[in-house]
Amino acid sequence: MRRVLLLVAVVALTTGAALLPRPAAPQEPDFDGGALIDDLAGAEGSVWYCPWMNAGAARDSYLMLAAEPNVQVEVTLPSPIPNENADRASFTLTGPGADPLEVASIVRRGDAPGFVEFDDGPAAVSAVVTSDTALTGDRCSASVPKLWHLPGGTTRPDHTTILRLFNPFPEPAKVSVTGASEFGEVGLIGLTSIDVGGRSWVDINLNEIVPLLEDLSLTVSSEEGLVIPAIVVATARDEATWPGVGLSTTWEFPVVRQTGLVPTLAISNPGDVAADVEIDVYTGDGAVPAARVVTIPAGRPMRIPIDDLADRFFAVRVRSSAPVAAVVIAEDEAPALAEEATDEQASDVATARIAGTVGAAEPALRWLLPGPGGVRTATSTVWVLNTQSEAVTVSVQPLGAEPPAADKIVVEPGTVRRVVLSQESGVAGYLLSAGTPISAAWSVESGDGVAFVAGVSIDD
Amino acid sequence: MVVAIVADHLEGLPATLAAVRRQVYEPARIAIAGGDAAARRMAGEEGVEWASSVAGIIERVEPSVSHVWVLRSGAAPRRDALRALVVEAERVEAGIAGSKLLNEEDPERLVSVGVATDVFDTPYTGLEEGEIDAGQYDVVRDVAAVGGASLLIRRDLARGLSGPDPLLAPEAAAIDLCQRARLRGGRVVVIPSSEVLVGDGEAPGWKEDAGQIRSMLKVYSLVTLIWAIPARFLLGLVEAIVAPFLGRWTLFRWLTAWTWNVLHLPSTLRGRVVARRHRAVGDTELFRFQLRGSAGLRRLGEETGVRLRERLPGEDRLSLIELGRELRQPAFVVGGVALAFVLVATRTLWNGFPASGYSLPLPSSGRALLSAYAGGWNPAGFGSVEPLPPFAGLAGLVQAIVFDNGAFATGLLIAGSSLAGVWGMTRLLRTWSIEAVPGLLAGLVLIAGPATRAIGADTGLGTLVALGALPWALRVPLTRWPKTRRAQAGRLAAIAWVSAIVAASSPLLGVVAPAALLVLALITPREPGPWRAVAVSLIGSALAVPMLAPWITTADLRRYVAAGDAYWEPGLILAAAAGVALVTTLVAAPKRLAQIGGWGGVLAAAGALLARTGDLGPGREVQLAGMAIAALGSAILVGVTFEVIRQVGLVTGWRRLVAGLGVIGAGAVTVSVVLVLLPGRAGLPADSFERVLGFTAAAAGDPGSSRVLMIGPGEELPGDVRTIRGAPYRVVSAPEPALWEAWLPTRRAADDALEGVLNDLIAGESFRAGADLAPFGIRWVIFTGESPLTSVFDGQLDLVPLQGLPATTYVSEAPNPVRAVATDGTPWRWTGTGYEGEPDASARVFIADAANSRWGPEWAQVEWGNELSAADGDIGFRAIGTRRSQAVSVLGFFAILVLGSWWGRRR
Repeated sequence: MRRVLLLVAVVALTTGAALLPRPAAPQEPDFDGGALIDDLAGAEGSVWYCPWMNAGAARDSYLMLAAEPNVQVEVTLPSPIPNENADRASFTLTGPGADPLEVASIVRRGDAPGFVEFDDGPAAVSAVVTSDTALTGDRCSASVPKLWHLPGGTTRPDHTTILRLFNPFPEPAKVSVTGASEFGEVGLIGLTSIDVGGRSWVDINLNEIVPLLEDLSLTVSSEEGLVIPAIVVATARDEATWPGVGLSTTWEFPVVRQTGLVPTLAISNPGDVAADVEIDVYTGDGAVPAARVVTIPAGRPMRIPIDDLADRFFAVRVRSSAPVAAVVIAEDEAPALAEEATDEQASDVATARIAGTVGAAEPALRWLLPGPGGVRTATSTVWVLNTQSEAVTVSVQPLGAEPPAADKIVVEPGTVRRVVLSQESGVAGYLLSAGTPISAAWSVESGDGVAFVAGVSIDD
Repeated sequence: MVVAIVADHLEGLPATLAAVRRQVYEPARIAIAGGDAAARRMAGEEGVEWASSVAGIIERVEPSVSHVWVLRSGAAPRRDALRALVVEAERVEAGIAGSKLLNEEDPERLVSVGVATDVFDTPYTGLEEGEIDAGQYDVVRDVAAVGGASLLIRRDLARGLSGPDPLLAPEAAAIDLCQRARLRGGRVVVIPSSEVLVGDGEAPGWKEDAGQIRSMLKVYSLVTLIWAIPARFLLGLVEAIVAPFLGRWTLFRWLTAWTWNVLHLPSTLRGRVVARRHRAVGDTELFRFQLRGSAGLRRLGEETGVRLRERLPGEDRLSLIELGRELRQPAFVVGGVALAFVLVATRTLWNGFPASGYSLPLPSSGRALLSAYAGGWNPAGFGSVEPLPPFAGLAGLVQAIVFDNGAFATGLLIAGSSLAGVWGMTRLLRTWSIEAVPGLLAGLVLIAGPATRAIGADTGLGTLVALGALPWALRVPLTRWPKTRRAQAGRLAAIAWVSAIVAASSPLLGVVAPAALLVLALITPREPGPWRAVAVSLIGSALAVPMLAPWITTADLRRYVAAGDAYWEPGLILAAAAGVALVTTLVAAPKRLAQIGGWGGVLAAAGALLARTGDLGPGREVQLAGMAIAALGSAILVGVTFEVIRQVGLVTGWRRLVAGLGVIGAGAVTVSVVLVLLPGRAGLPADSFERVLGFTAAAAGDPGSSRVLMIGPGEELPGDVRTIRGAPYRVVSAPEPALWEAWLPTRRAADDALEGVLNDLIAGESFRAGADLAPFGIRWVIFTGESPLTSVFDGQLDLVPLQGLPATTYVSEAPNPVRAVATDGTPWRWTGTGYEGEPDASARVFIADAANSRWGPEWAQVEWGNELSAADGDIGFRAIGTRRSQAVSVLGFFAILVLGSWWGRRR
């Protein structure tokens, strides 16, 4: 009997053990990596990466800094010589304020990609490169995703497209570049595994790899480490540059056309399904919804002429059924081929201007525009787009050493408003605030060069 | 012929006189030598002469007398003893002849047939205890010396030697006399046909030792004395150290003997001059009849062997002389197998604990570890005053005892506990007459069975050590309860200190012994033994509880019990095998064994149940305790199962067939123990942190003054981990965390600050992780496995990845990523218990440990850390006095218990 009782006891205990449930698993990580940093100006410290800067004998670059609070600024320009210390500058920017920092004041050695750290925010950076004939620039990047999209490239004759891969981090990066053109996927031989050393950069001339492509869209993905890519499209005299972007179903471009330039939308659809794209046009008088509708096949880029959609200056909004990347490019109308060109046309080639910029994925209540007025030899224009159905009063706060008082402008519903700045204004940036979401950008024009620069929305 | 009877004691004198008078060979005279007035009076009453010493008698012997027969009072020579001595001595022309001595109570039992000595004049009879006289030694032969109870010496030789040395004890005097006789060319023989009955006599005391030393000093040449005297001194010291473990104290005897010789050195030197003046031979002739080596050490070895044998199953005692035969006995085979198994299974641990999970190497200083336990600074994470677990104190104590040799202490802890576990298991099972081999197999299952391997895999170091003592915590209470108060007190003390070792290694296991014994008592309710064992075990465990101080008085016990999750998943195949063993044992075993087997089964099942209660709240420590109980239960079950099949007479027919099935099940469980042999880590996992952290030791500067942020899955990080939004991480000391860092204290401001930094990094609000982490002393960030934090650290501007390392590793570029830095930027060095640097009266030092006012000098809190004066060049932590006092008291109490248990065992 006792043996049976013992067996029963053991069976009972074993059964109890078997029936006990497994404890609840510990909390799984509620994040899958670093926060996806949009190119926003938040209320905290930030780093802005500007890959395309150059300060040498023929060119100068300006870091256009703007901040709302007082911020400590640290500028780092890695040396192209391995293991050489980076060139640095540190100073305080009194906020709200803006300051154009000439890169040559730190170092003058040609290519000088770098980054700017703010210990507080909102703060943002644009980078503008000038030369005797060229003027280019755009806002810098604050985000460091592993996957970048760079639409708008071209390797057609009289254009050169350079992809710069800037690795500001100590860790070496290994990246892969893929491309798509109007013909479909492009075989970018030698770009499947590019080593970019820590704190260095690599320039890739795409004309040498895939020449004669009208429309070239690139995708840069990091297998190891991180890079900040930028694309530089150059004509014989001018250049346009813009950073990599992500994907979105809406893009707003407040600046599209500068005097005499022919704008084009370059949209890339890297997805697996075709994207139905509607282009809304906003002029100073009102909006034209779906002024152009196109379908972009899956995995293809498309250049969409939009010059014919409006007579004067205008802005556009892209709405897509699938996430796409988009940039706007504006350049002088393409001349005839050289052998057929008249003397006047040959002169046009010599002065062919080009500008390009990324858009805003969504409108915002406040915008920081680092740089308008900062290039003393050029004329800056601020562009404000109101895609909403009601008029909005925008507070325009000039930023600079001795800025004038803030002004208010009214932007009618569905219109774009431009504010041309005086060259002598002493302003180096703007802080825009509105009651309803707007989008903003600025452009700068000097002699033979012109540049479009996206604004930076403030993340409130 | 003259008979000289040495009157050591009067009680035996009449009998000796009577025996002498009965001799067939009549002596010319009979005289009594020595003794007090009573001896003299008795001499008068008996009509014999009296002299103050044997020498005095010899002086008065007339030339017609050929020999003097020296007898000790109490000796009872057989009637023809003298004749045999005289006849044979003359035949072989011996200078001294001795008799065969037999026990007067049991005349068949030999006491001595001549005496061999070693070079130190220590006697060695060569007889086994109780050896029967079967005539095996009945041959006249030369010997080093003869017993002092009966020796015949030629008159002329006796006069030349002046008889026995009156200052010496009887046996030493006989040896001395024989040595001096031989030095003069006299032959010393034993004549077995001369039989003398003697009593057991008293155990040799310090006077015998002193006499042997004096004899050496008198007879040996200076060359021999130069090495022999220091050797004798050291051997005595060794014996004084070892003998207490055998229940003897020889220290005072040793000291007294040497002191006596120092005091009597002048007379010894005079005796030496006389002894060597007319020497006919050298030391070599003396050596001819001596043993090689040390008779004292030989005896010590024999005693040790006997003690070992007494604790192992087997019938016969050990004799090293017959080592070959003895070694084939089960006890030694079992002991040898156990020793070999443990040595192989723990061979890599003699290099230190592998760094994995909660298994971390001992720190460089055992005293520092002990000090940290006893109210010092707990350096885990950013440090705290929370007490370390008692196991840390135990490990520190062992390490301090072995002169801070951490690797040796590690081997000692694990191999020692494993051996103790096997030994304890065989002893425990002997309680129910389970023989050596089943006991050994049970012991192996205890230290390397499935449950124990699971403990090892979970790096439960303390539990592994506790397992070695656990069978003893059951065995000692189950031993027959002694009758005397003294022995009872000693038994309780023994239970208490054994329970203290169990509890110190794994506090939760402290209650297992009384609980397990209670289960046994319930299974065998009519037997008083288990009930009494429960009671005494409870008392012992209760006495052990205070010995967990200061941990038990300050620790958050709720947190200790609940930390982690208890959910053991035993292998189903081996669990089923154990189940088969249990069922078959219950079915086929005789009643007694079935009960014990069932007890083991209940313990194993209860342990498994306990180890899976995580959903109810218990944590890792409960799981380890449950697995230990399961290991104990399964070991008992296996031992019983193998014993059942040995019961040829009781287990027959179908029962034997069923028992065979049980053996298959138990065999499967037992065979699995070989899994620990190949790795040689006693079931512990391989070192995983040395691989990823090792490079830091070679880093520039003082890597030991920085910390490492380790990130990865929780099971791939050292000890306790913290999490940031669900992602585990851990801050440890470089170049490698030590054992005292395994258990993290509760969160403090420093932890919150670090979490804030990590949150900022995750949110993308900071891009200079190196600079952000430097104030915490973090110089390296190492990923031991997958973590979402990997991409967070990808995009940092001042963390340089290190190539060629087995794990993703970043090193900080920030200035001074060290634990302590002075205001002028000079780093200070971490010493393990404090900091040191250049003294500077004007400077302050920030130390990146959790703020605590016991740091000094001139402490001030700065944010979450400490700022102190650099004036002394030394920063230290003032230990908490009450905890230190408690720890010292515990140590003293433990020593008292050990001594008490020893005292109680003395007969």
